Amino acid sequence: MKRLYYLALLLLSGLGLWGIVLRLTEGLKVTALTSYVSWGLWVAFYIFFIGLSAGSFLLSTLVYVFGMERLERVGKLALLSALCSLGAGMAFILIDLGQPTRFWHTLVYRNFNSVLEWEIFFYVIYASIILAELWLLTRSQSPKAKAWVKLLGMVGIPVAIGVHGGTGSIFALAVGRPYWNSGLLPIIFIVSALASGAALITFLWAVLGPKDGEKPAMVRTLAQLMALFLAIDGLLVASEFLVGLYSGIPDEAGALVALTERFWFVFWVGQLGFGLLIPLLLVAFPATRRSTAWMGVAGLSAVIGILAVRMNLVIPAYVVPQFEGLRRAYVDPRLQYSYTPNGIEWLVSLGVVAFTILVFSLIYERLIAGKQQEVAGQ
Amino acid sequence: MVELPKDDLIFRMHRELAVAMQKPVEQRRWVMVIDLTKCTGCTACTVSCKAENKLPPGVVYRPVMEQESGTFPNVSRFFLPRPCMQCEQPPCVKVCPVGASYKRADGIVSIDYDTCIGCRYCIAACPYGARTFDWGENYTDDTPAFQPYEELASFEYGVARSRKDDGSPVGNARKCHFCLHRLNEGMLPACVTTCIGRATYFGDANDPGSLVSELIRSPRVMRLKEEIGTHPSVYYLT
Amino acid sequence: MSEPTGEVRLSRRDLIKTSAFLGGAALVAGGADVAFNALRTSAQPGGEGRTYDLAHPENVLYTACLNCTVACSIKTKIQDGVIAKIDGNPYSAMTMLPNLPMEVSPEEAAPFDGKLCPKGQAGIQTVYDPYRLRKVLKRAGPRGSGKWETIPFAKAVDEIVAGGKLFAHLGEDRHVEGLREIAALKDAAVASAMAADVARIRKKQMTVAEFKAKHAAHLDTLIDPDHPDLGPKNNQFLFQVGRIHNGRIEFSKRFVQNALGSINWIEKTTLCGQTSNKAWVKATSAYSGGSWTGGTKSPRPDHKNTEFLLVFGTIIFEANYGPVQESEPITEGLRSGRLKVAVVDPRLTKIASKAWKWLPAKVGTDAALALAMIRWILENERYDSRYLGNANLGAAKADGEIAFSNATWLVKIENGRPAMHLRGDEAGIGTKTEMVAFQNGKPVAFDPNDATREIEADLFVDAEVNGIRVKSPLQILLEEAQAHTLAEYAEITGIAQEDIVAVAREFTSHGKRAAVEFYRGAIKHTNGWYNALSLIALNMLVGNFDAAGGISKPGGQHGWKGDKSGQPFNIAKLHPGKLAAFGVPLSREGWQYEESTLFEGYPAKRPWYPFSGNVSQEVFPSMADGYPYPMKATLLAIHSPIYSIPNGFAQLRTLLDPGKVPLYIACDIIIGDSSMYADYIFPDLTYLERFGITQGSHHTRVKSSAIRHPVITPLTETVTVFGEEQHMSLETLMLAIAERMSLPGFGPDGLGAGMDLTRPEDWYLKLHANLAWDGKATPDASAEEIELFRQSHRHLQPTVYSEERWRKAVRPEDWAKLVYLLNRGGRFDSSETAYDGAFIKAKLGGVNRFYVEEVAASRHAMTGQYFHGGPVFAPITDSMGKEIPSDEGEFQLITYKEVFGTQSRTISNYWSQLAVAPENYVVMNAADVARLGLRDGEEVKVTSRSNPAGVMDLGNGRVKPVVGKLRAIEGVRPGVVAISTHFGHWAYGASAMEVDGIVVPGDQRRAGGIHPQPLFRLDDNLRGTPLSEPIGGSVSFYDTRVDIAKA
Ligand SMILES: Nc1nc2c(c(=O)[nH]1)N[C@H]1C(S)=C(S)[C@@H](COP(=O)(O)OP(=O)(O)OC[C@H]3O[C@@H](n4cnc5c(=O)[nH]c(N)nc54)[C@H](O)[C@@H]3O)O[C@H]1N2
Ligand SMILES: Nc1nc2c(c(=O)[nH]1)N[C@H]1C(S)=C(S)[C@@H](COP(=O)(O)OP(=O)(O)OC[C@H]3O[C@@H](n4cnc5c(=O)[nH]c(N)nc54)[C@H](O)[C@@H]3O)O[C@H]1N2
Ligand code: SF4
Ligand code: SF4
Ligand code: SF4
Ligand code: SF4
Ligand code: SF4
Ligand SMILES: [Mo]
Repeated sequence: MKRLYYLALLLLSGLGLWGIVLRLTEGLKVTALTSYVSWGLWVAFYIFFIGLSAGSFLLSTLVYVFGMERLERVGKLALLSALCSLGAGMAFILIDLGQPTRFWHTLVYRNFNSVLEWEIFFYVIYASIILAELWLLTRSQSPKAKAWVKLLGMVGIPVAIGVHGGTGSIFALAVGRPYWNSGLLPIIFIVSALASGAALITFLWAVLGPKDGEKPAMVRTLAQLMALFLAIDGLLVASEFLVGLYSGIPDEAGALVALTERFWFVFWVGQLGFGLLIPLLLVAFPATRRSTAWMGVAGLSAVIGILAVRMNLVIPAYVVPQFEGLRRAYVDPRLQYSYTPNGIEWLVSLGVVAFTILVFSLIYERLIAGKQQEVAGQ
Repeated sequence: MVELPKDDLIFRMHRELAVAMQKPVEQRRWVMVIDLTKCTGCTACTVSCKAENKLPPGVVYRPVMEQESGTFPNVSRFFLPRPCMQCEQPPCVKVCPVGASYKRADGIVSIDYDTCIGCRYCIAACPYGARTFDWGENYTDDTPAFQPYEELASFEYGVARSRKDDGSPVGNARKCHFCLHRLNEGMLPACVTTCIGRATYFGDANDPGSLVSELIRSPRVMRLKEEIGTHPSVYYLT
Repeated sequence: MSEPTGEVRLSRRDLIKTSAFLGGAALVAGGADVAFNALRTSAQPGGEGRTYDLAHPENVLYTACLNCTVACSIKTKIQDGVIAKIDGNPYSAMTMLPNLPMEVSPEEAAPFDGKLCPKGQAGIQTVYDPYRLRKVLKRAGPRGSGKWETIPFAKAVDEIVAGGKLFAHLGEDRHVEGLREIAALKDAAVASAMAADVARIRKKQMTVAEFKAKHAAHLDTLIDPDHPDLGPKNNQFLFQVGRIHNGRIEFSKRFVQNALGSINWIEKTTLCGQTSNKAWVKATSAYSGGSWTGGTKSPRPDHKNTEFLLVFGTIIFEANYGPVQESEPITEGLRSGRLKVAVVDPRLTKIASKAWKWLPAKVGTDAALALAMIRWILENERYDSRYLGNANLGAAKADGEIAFSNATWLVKIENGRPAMHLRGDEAGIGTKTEMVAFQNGKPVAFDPNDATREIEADLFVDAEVNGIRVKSPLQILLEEAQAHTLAEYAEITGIAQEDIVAVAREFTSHGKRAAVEFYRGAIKHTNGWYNALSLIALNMLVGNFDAAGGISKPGGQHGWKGDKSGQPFNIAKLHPGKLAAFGVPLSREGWQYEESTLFEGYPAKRPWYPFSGNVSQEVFPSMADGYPYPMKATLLAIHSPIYSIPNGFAQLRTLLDPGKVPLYIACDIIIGDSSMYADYIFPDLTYLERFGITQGSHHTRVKSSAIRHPVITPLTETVTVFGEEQHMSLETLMLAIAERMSLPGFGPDGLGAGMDLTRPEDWYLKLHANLAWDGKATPDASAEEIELFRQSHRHLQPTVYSEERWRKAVRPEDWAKLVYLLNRGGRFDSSETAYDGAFIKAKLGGVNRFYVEEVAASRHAMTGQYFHGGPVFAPITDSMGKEIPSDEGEFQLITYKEVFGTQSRTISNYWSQLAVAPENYVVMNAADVARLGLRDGEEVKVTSRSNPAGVMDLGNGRVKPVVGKLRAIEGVRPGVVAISTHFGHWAYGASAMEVDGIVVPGDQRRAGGIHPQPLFRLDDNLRGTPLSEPIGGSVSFYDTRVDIAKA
């Protein structure tokens, strides 16, 4: 069973790797991106994972900073998923660069006006914090270590918020795109990050958590947290939406219309269905709420839903030309205001995701699961 | 040299360009003025720019937009060429994580192809759609014979670069640069010289006597999306 | 659509292989090496440290564009041996206003770039087209099968010269007559003698019997001894050509007419502006010795000074001759407020969108609109009576006028219809060359060219002289105009009466600074001739000829033929053993039906075109009918008849029949939409790889003589002809045939003792040298300039350029002058020198005609009816005068040109045509679209009376539906369907071809859009001939009704 699981992950990672090699040799022309829709699936995955990471991390701080004893046992899991998600996010942004070999420029050539620039700065600190915490936690349970972890956690909170709120600002500050250009966006990013984090952990714990008396309660708590965040997120998004529609800014309204029409599936089914209704209902019904399995499903559904949210954030903003006349002014396949991810893009994404899960699983088994038992044993 | 004709358009612009180039760079302020009543929508500027800068598929610096308005028989068509606005407050520069996009002292917003990491944040940020990306494609890829003109070095920013072997600018964002490489040689931008309607003017706004200075004082000037505070250096006469 | 079978998947390697015959990198790379080494002197190639090579004069070569027929003067910039950029030539008034004085050195001129249109800018992609032809192809299947084999040039030439069973290996067991057999008449003396006697027969001064007796020994060289006026068998060779332009015209005529001895050198001009050109020639021809000669084919408004411009059916900013010259003076005038424009066109053209009034008149009613204005102008006496009253030069001079008109010259009325002008002798008051007019009610006879006597005459005359009923042309015009009331005209044209009056008033409110400009839209109708005369008459009513801001003579060119004193090479004379071509041309042009021995009453089997020339639509149908005689071999060049002739597909059926077209040879730069049906295709050079003299510009007011010469090493393979290694081209082909057949005027001493004609430059550089010696000789190039010349030619390989060879082509004293011109791309007068006072220096002068007597005196060969001598509003009819019912289809089909495209050569231009508009549309008024319940963007099928199925039949079972995407707009007259003509290609790289067993895939980008050609209305009486205009000879492009249905 387990062997099969790893085999599948290896296989997918392999395929992804092939896609990545192709992309690195052939360049970005292997994607379906255009000069007008210049960000696509990979950027969506990038913010998705940054969100997951920040969310998971913040969740961990409930334990280590706010001492939420009931969640004690998911702490490390959360940190680990924060780390792996961050890695995945980085991988996605890296392969999306037109000049991947120049990624180091971001550390050497600074432009302090650029949010993205600050982002990268934050990522470094953020990553080190997580690593440090994990290192400490896996080495000892001593109060001294705990104290350090708490300290790091406290520092980590603003950083994590910075990391993901920042990602939000990347978009929010694009004056060229009314659809993004909004003050609320960074906040939505944080909340949805928390939601996605909670969702992921819910799911993971439902699957990986040691089967003991506490598990159902634990999962339920996580799920309820998730539901809470999802609800808030839903409200914020709704308000954004309405403001947008009635803002009278044609581009923005246009994008929203496109969102609900051209991308109706991703929006109605993905963002609203998986991302909101299903998880909320599952949590709402006592019957399903009591079932660990169902709560796992709720978590997974929310995670998928939030991926849809990310796609809906990136792509629709692009399908509205800066000037209507640009649609026909000068036409070739790379000067289109439309975009659907192609096979290569999906393959690469699948690969990266698989590889992330692979790494996560391996580390989890080696470093955390074992010790988990001990803790349970005491 | 022999007396040049004393006309008040093309040769005047040439003369004023020469004067401006004598001044230190920070004392020049390049602006472009496009007279929409004279623009015939011919797209010669678009194509001249493509050739001048050896632009591949997916990259265009100066598309000409067309719009029809009214109902038969009271109809009108109107044409709007859109180079880079060389904004005084350029969002594209603000967002560039590595400072590859920067504003020169003379107002031209440049891209340092060697620093640009190809993240395309600037493309997202430009309110005018003036930036496009070099995907590394060629027009005669996958035809019976790839044509050599596609890998000739282009002279953008005064550096000869061939796209051969996918070197920069392949994988970079690209945009109109007011033909900086031509200005340096005392030549007007390629879209200006080829303009069959003589609808596009170019010059130094810091020279109060220049043609462009005269024109931007006219009540007929407008700029695109003034409301977002980018302060374009491209003016339109309506 | 059936692609070639036996498809071989094409690997990269194959692609390289195939690029052995399709324009490949190989050769150019070679060029690059040369350039590299040379470039080292200036800067190291490819790398840093080169700030901007294109700014340096040693990388600049000036030549002439030909991406459309306008042929602007251009500046090409060479980088690593490759054309990197094309701009306008700043020395030329065609491309820079004002233009640089010739005195400016090329060094100093380098930073200046002139204007150019998008097509010109994209010319690089016409030259470096991946589908360029580099080797000779012979068909390896039936015509049009798309299967080819490459064969050696020499072998191909041998085959077409010797003939034989050339396609036996394809199972075609027929003997193909070779050129040697066809060119039966070789003796120059005999040819001239026969030619002279055929002229007598034509004038009925000699009988056929007498002729046969006199030339008994040579009758075997005639097509038909009983009809000597059909000429020699040599006439059964046809040269069918498109936009060939000067220099090449003389070269190919020298070959076709004076070496091969065939009269049949037929250009595409009846597709083009023909009727306009011919009408203008008639309106401006000179009267001498009792008959009419000369004339100018394209007088145009002087936009720079015009105050009111009235445009009929020409797309001034987008097409015409051409956008580069016309736009600036007009936009300047619009901006400064000097100029007001009104446009008559069913479409809101780009200039119409800037006009004071857009008059979307009903299609084909231009004459009605003009006559309506004329009626108002005459009845309200808004005309220039001073100018109109001047009956001769003397009177004009006295008034300080340049031109005068025949408004007052009496015309005889014979059985109710106006005929010839009344001559002095007929009036009994003068000689038979004198004209007669009324002065205060009394007839006077006078010599129109008499500069001393002043004849001011009565304008409106309807009287009797010497028992002969006479009227003045102005009287005839008035009566014609009064055939309808303004209200009726408004009804006919669909233009409100107040608009007609407003435009007429405006037109007559600017003195001589108002002008009417028209072109194809107004005249490519069966009634086009009369439309043209009506519009010319409008100009004459305001007496604007030769006036600044009025109608003026195109600046034209300096002489290149060497027939002016002081010019070194009179090329017409430099032709030892010159053969005289004679006989009725295949298209029966320049002949009155009645003059020929084929006359057998009316209707004739096919139309005759006494007043036209180059009646291209007649070529295939005449071959099909074998009338006046069957053809044996055709050479096609620079022309795509199947694509460009309205309903050329009807003619394709003839082309596909080897019985009717035994041998069809093409010379093309590519496997074109028409050359794909040829038996052989010989590669030609594009306009940037060859020599030439361009045509004069319609829209410069001063002389602009651009020189065409190779700016890169040609991409076609080299061959050896007359012992000279040279690149395959049309010239090389003709030279090679001449060599095989030892034709006079080619080869060693071909131009006379010590003057060889063995390479293109032997010919062209002489023409170029002539330019330098026209009038005041141009200066010599300085030593520095000669050095610059060497530098700027450094990338050219010896196969195309060698200084000593080029020097040898001209006299020593010519060389420095030649270099001076080549360094500037030609000889250009300054736009500043165009005017003297209120008039233009380049003058039409002389008489302008309202009434063309010789046309009035001749008959339509089909109906037997007399033509009209002046403007009339005529219905749209077929060749038997039957009206084309307007209920044949719901909509009126028209076509037009976009500024980024030409008929068929720009489909390879990825930068321009394929990006500005990857496809074209079926353009209709939004209201019509809505009424039909259709939507913008939806695919529709277009059908017509002549194409009820709505299909494009490409032969060999390959059929495409005539389907296009709808574009619903407001800027087109309801009831009209407009389809542009740049798309819908089936060859020219748009579809796969098989060469030597390898399938070369087509480029889908080139296959987009819809072509209107299959829809055009055919003449019911003429077996696959499009409707035509009988006098000027134009094909009709705008008289077809179509129906639209969801595809
Ligand atoms: N871009 C471009 N320019 C070119 C060329 C080219 O291929 N492309 N070719 C060159 C050549 S060879 C030529 S001959 C010239 C032709 O130059 P033009 O004559 O200007 O071009 P056309 O497309 O023939 O013009 C047809 C116009 O007449 C209008 N029209 C149709 N029917 C009628 C009618 O009944 N009455 C009136 N008043 N208008 C009507 C059409 O809507 C269209 O606008 O262009 C030259 N310049
Ligand atoms: N429906 C419609 N039809 C039209 C018109 C229209 O407005 N509407 N316009 C008409 C007019 S005005 C004209 S003038 C005709 C023009 O029609 P054509 O005389 O056919 O001219 P093109 O189509 O431009 O070019 C013809 C072919 O010449 C070949 N060619 C190009 N360059 C070269 C060269 O350098 N050497 C050689 N040997 N061959 C070359 C290419 O195969 C090209 O396809 O079309 C007419 N047809
Ligand atoms: S127009 Fe766009 S690319 Fe140009 S400066 Fe402004 S923001 Fe930057
Ligand atoms: S694409 Fe290049 S120029 Fe644009 S923001 Fe990214 S690094 Fe800067
Ligand atoms: S200024 Fe130069 S780069 Fe900018 S649009 Fe004009 S031609 Fe292109
Ligand atoms: S070249 Fe001049 S006239 Fe033509 S589209 Fe450009 S700006 Fe307008
Ligand atoms: S109008 Fe354009 S295509 Fe035609 S000759 Fe001039 S530049 Fe060339
Ligand atoms: Mo034409």
